[in-house]
Amino acid sequence: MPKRIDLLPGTLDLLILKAVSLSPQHGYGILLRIGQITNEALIIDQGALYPALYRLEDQGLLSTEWGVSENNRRAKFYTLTASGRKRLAQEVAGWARLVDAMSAAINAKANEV
Amino acid sequence: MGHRIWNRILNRRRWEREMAEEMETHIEERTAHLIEQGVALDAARRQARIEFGGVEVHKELCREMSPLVRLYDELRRNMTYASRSLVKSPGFTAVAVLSLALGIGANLAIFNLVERLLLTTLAVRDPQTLYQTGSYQPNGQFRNWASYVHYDSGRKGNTDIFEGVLAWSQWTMEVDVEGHQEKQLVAFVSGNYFPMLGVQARFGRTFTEEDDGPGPSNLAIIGYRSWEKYFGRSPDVLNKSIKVQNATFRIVGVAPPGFYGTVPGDPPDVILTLHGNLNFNPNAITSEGMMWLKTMVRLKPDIPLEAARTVYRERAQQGGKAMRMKLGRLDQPEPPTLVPTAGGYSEVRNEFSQAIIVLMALVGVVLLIACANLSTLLFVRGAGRAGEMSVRLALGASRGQLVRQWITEYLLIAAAGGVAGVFVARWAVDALLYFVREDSRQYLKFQATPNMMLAAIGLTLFTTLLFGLLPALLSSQATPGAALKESQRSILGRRRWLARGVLAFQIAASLALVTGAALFVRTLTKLNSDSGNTARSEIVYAHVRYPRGTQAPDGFVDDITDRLRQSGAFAAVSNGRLPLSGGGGWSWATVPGYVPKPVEDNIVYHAWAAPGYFQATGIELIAGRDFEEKDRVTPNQVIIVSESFVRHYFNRRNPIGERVRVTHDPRYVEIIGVARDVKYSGLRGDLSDVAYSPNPRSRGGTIIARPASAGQQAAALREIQSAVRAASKTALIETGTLEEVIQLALRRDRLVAQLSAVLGLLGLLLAAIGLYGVMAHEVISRTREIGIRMALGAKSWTIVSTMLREAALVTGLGVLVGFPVSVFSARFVESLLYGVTPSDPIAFVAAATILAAAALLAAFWPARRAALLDPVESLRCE
Repeated sequence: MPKRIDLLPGTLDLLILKAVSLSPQHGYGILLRIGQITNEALIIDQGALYPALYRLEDQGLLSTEWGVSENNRRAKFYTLTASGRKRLAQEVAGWARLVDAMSAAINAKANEV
Repeated sequence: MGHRIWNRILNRRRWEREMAEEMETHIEERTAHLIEQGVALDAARRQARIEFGGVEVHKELCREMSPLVRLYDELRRNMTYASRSLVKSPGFTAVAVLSLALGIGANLAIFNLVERLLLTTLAVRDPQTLYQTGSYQPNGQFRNWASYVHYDSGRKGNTDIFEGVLAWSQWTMEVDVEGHQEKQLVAFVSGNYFPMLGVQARFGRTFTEEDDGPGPSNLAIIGYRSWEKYFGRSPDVLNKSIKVQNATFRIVGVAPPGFYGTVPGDPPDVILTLHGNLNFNPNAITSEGMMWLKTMVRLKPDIPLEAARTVYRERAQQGGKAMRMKLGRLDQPEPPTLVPTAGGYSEVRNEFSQAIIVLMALVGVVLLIACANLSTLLFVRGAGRAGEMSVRLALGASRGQLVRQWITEYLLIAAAGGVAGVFVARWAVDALLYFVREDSRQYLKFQATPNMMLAAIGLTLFTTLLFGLLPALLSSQATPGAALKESQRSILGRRRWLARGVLAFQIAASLALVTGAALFVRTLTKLNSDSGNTARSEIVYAHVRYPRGTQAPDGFVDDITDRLRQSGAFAAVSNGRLPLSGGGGWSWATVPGYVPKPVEDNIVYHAWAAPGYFQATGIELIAGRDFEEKDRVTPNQVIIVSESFVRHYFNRRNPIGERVRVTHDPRYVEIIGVARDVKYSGLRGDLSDVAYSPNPRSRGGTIIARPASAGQQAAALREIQSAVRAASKTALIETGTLEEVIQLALRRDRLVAQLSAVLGLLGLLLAAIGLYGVMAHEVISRTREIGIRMALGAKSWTIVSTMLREAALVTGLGVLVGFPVSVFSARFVESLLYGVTPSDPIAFVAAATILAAAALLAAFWPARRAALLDPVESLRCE
C-alpha cells in the first residue's frame, strides 16, 4: 500500500461530488469509491464525511433518497443535483488550474526565471 | 429544497433518527467489509467504530451544517432557558407580565372602539363621498334634522353640487309579522336610498324613486334576519303582508344580510318608504315643522369639498325658498356645513369619538410607561445577571447567542403579556360598554377580528422592541473578564444615568396622566355641582301617559298630582317639564322696546309648569308670584321668565307686568314672575333664557315631586306609582329620580373621568414600581459602600437621606420635564373640559403632589433597608 497523504482543505467536497457523480452512493459507498478512484492514497476520517455530506445537501448540491445497500441494509443514497453537477465542473476546472500553476512553479528552473 | 428544510424542522425527531441510522449503517457496512477482509467479528466491530470516530461529535457537526436546524435547536434551548429563568424569579415575571397585559389590554380595548366607531366605513358604494348636512350648535352638538319639505327642496335645489340626497329615519314600532307581534326597528327611507348607496336586495327588489309618493305607500322591505326567522328564507315571502302598528304593508324585497344602512350597528327589521309614514303621520310629507328626517348627500365627483361647502352655506343663508335647501331647521342661527360621514351616522360616535381619541392617547402613554418600567426592571435584573453573562461568555457562548437568548426571554414575556392582554381587553370592553346605550353594546362589544389580532401581535412586538432594546444592548456589552473581576455595581454604575433617564421619563409621563385625570375629575365634579338646582338630588319624577289610541280622562295627571299633594308624603308635588332633561321647545323672543343687535341669539326656551312647579323643582322664584289655577284656564296670558331673560332684555328694569312674545302665538303675554337661573337641558349647556308657561290641565305629562324627608325617593316613587294605578289600570308610567337622568347625561364625562383616573393610577403605580426596583438595586449594589460609611460613623438617617436624594433627583427631573408636556397636551382636551382651564393650577399642583408622594414612598422602603444594614455584615458581602 502506497504511503497515504492528508487531504488538502476543500478537496473533500470535490472528491465527494466526483464520487457521487459516477453513480448514486450511500455514505460508506462514497468512501469506498473515493478510495478506489484515488488509489487509496488519501486519508479520510470516516465520520468527518457526514458533516461534509450534510453541508453539500444543505447547499442543494446533493439530493438524498432512502434505498437498500448491496448488503441489504437500509441506507441513504446521495445523488448529484443539477447545481451539484455545475459545481463539480467548476471545482474540477479550478483544481486543474491550481495543479497547472503548482506544477509550473515546482518545475521552474533557475535559468528560466 | 425549501420544503425539505421545513420538513427537517417539523420532523426534527425523524431527522435525528435518520441521521443516527445513517451513521449506524455506515459502521455496519464497514464491519461487514472488514470481516470480508478476514478480520474477526469482534475486532471488526471495534475497528469500524474507532475508524468512524465519535458519533456524537459528528452528529453535532452535521447539525451545525444545517443553519435552520441549528436555529431551531437554539430557539428551543433558549425557550427552555428563558422560561426556567422567568419561573425562578416569579415576582419579576408577575410584575412584567401583568404590567404589559394591562398596557396592551387597555390599548386593545380602546382600539376595539376606535375600529368599530372610527375606522369602519359603511358597506356601501364609495362611502368616502358621502356627507351629512347640518350645523354645529355653539355647544358643539351637531343638529341635522330636516322635514320632508326641506329634504325635497334641498334635493332639487342643489343638483349642481350633489349627485344625490337621501333621507331616512328609524324608530321602534309594533310589528306583526306572520302572527308574531314584536317591537321592531322600522326605517323609513327615500326612494333613492338604495340606488344611491349602491345596495342590491338579497331577494326581490329595493325601492326606487318611482316609489316616492304622492300618496301613502304600502311597500316594505324586510331585514335578512326577519326573512330567516319568520319565513325560513322562503321565496314565497314576496307579496306577503306585514302589519306595522295598524297599517298593512306588502313585502317587495329582502335586504342583504347584516345590512344596517346608514346607521352602523342598528340593522332595521322593516324598511318602508318615506311616504309609508303617511299611514301613521298624515302630515309627514307636507309639514315644514315636522323634523323627522336625517339626510345624507353624495358630492359630485368633480366638485371640491370646500367649494361645495361655500355654495351650500351661501344658499342656506340667503333665506326664503333657498333657505329650505339647507336640509335642516329653518331657524338655526349657525351656518350649515357638510360633514364627512363615510362611517355612517352614529349617535354613539358623535357622543364618544372625541373622548375615545383622548382615551387612545392616554392608554398609549400607559403602555409607554409600562415599557419603560419593564425596561428599567430588566436593566436592573440584567445588571444582577452580569456575572452569569460573563461566565457564559467565558465558557464560549458567542455574543450573538447571548443577545438572541435575551431576545427570546423578552419575547416570551411580551407574548405572555399579549395573550393576557387580549383577555384584559375583553373584560375592559365589557366594563366600558357600561357607559354606552344598551342597544349599541352588541355592535361595540369586543370582537377578535383579524385587525384586532394584528393589533395584538403588533403591540406585542412593538413593546418588546421598546422595552427590550436598551437592556439587550447593555447586557451584550458584558465582557468575559470584567464582570468576573469587578463588582456588579460597576456594570450598573457606568450606565446609571440611562436608568435614571428612563425613570425620569416614566415620572414625566405619569405626571401627564395624573394631571389629565385631575382635570377630568374636576370637570365631572364641576358639572355635578353647577346645575344651579340645589334640590336636584331629592327630586323624583313620573312620566305618565295613556297608551296610543286610548283617551285619558281630562286632567288625569292633575288629579293624581292633587291626590299626592293631599297624601302628606311630599314636601311639594307638581307637574310640568322635568328640569335638566332633554326635549323642550323654543322660539324667538320679541320684547317691545328692545332692539336686537344685528347678529343675536334671541332664542327663548319653553317649559310647562303647573302651580307649585317651582317648589317641587327647587327652582327659587326671586320676584313676582307663582302660577295659580286660574292662570291655566285661558292659555297664553302669563309667563314666568328666568333671571338671564331679564338680564338679556330688561337691563335692571323691573320686568313684572311687562308684556312680551315668546311663542309662535302672535299675542303678547304678561310676565308675572322671575325664576332663578338653572340649566335647561344638559349640564354642559349655558344658562339659557327660559320662559315658563302654565300648562293646560293635561291628560299626560310629568309629575315632579320632592319627598317630605330626604332619602325617601324609593318610597315616594312607590307612592306615585300606586296613585297612578289607583287612577287607571292601563296608564303607562315611567319613573325615576332626576339624579338618574342627570347621571345618564353625564356618562361620557364619567367615562373619561373614571377611566383617566384608573389609567393615571396605573401609570403612577408602574412608575413607583420602577423607582422601587432601581432604588432596591442601588441599595444592594452599594451595600459595601453603605457598610463602610456606617462603620465610619454615618447615622442611619444620613444613609436614608442619601438614598432619598437620589430618588428626589430623578422625580424632580421627571416633574420638570413632565410639567410643560402636560400643560401642552392638556390644550388638546379642552373641549372635553368644563369649568376648568387646561392649565388649572389646582389640578397641576394636586398631580405633582400625588406623584412626589408616590415616588418618595416607593423610594423610602429601599432607603430604610439601607439604613438598617448591619455594617459588619455588609462589609463581608461579595
